[in-house]
Order: sequence, then structure tokens, then C-alpha cells
Amino acid sequence: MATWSDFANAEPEMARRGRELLNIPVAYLATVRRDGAPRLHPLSPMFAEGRLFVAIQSSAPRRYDLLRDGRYSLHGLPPMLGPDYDEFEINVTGRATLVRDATLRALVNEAEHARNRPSIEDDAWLFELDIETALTTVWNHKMVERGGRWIPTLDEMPQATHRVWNAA
Amino acid sequence: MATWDEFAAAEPEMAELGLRQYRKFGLAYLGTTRNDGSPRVNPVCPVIAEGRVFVATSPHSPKLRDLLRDGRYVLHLLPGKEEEEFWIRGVAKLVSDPGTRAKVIEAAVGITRIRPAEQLLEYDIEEAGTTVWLDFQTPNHRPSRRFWRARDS
Repeated sequence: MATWSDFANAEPEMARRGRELLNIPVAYLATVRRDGAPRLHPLSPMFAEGRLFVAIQSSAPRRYDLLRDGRYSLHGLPPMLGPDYDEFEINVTGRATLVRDATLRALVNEAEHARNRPSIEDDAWLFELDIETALTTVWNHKMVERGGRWIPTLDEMPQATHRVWNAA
Repeated sequence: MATWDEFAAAEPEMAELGLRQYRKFGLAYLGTTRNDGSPRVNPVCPVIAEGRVFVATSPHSPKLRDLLRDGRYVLHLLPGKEEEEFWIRGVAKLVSDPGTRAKVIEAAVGITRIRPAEQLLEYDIEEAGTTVWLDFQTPNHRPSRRFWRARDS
């Protein structure tokens, strides 16, 4: 397992674009329910001290998913459409651990305030996402302008280029 | 389990919220379970055809392997700026009928392109949920949630 900084030091370009998209600030967090079925929710990832965190509301069932089986998958949203749109995808997987350290929670709050985001709700559960694997995908879309909007043409099938990083 | 039309007949307001989100982006996030029991998430382009939900998937895609082993899925539409969320969950099954495939390909025009090699899966609906965030970006923001479950589930 690794921190976000470990990943960023090893793969700076993957991490630079990945962080831009994880900061949107909506990403999808997948967990596994007690019955083994997948669960999926949008949330806002947070970065502090070179580490990756998510806060989960005290009423959300997925907090128990992460306590029982910390394995997660986090996927960023695509970038805005434009002439250079490449549908950049970032997906990180690993294990989540509950943060009980009030000092670390305060540091995450400070980092959130620095980017004009509100404090984590007092009763929310804070998890650190350790990273096992990071995957980025770019698509060589051919973009066309229609009515003032750039959209990928459906005439040509784009090809994907994947890049994978595994924690040592 | 239910089709999209059966769900929409039972909960027209929830279905309309879903369609509103779907028409904006045509993009959804799919959650599946890997063979080691860990979760996987990928973006997909669903197609609603014949009152049913379909997704075409590359034959080499890990998510296809997931769904052929354990069809349980969760599909969450990309949220919009109005802070509305829509999701369905259920079981996906492979479609082998050429007539159904032809109708899905026709319905997909302008949304996505389905390649001949891609596998087509139908997503039966067991549950659906919507969330509307009220007073968003104010200290009083709160979710208003609705939930629907197919009668025979």
C-alpha cells in the first residue's frame, strides 16, 4: 500500500491529471455490501499531508462496508468537453482505514478550508484511502464542434491507452 | 426484477428524474464485484430501448467477466449541477437475441456506437433510488431521498 504522495512521486503525470479530476469535487466510490453486491456513491475526495481521504456521513451504510472490508475503488469524473478532450480516467483501488486521530482530522479540515471547502461534518466518519493500484486511461477521441459544443464523433471508434501503477 | 418501463409506470416522478439526468450526459458509473470480492467501478453508456436498460461491453472487459460470474450491478447516473442523483441496482444478463440487439443498436444512434464484437447485457432493475439535495451549498443543505423496490424482489 502507498499514500497519494508515494504514487505522485512515482508517476507525477498520472497523479497531476488524476488529482485535477478528483478535485472536481465529485468522484465515485465503490464498496462492497455485506451480501457481496457492489455499492456506489458520489463523494468529494480530500487531499492532506500527501494522503487521500474521504468523509462519509454518519447515516450512510457504506461506512460499515469500509469498516468490515476496507477494499474500495475510486473513479474520477471525466474532464470538460473541448477540442482536446481525451476522456481521461483515473481509478485508484486499495484499502480504507478509519481515521481516529483528531490531529489528522484537523489537518484534513485545514486543507479543505484552504481550497474554500467547508469543514467535515462533526459526525462524519473520516477514512484514509491507502493506494494499492492506480490506473489511468486516455481515449484518442476525434472531436467535432456542433452548435458551439465540442463532442466526440461517433463515426470513429476511439482507442484507449492504459497506464497502471502498483504500489511496491 | 423489473424493466425500465415497469419501474417508470410504478414511479413516474423518479423515472423522470432519471431520464432528465440521462439526457444531459448519457453517462453512468457501473459498480460490479471482482472475483476476489473487491469492488470495481467504470463509466458506461446505457441505452434505454424497448422500455428496458442495456449496456454494451467489450468482450475483453473485466467488468463483463464480473457480470457473467455475478450479475449483481449498481448503476449511478452522472449527477448534474442541480444536485440530483439517480441510481438503479439489480442483475445484468447477457442478451443473445439478434432482434433485441438490432433494436438496441437502433436506439443507441446519437448516444453511443455498439460494435459488432461487443457483448450486450440487459440490466434488470431490483431497486431504484433518487436523491435531491435541498438548499444545496447552504448550511441547511439536506437530502430528500426516494426509494423503489420491485414487487417480486
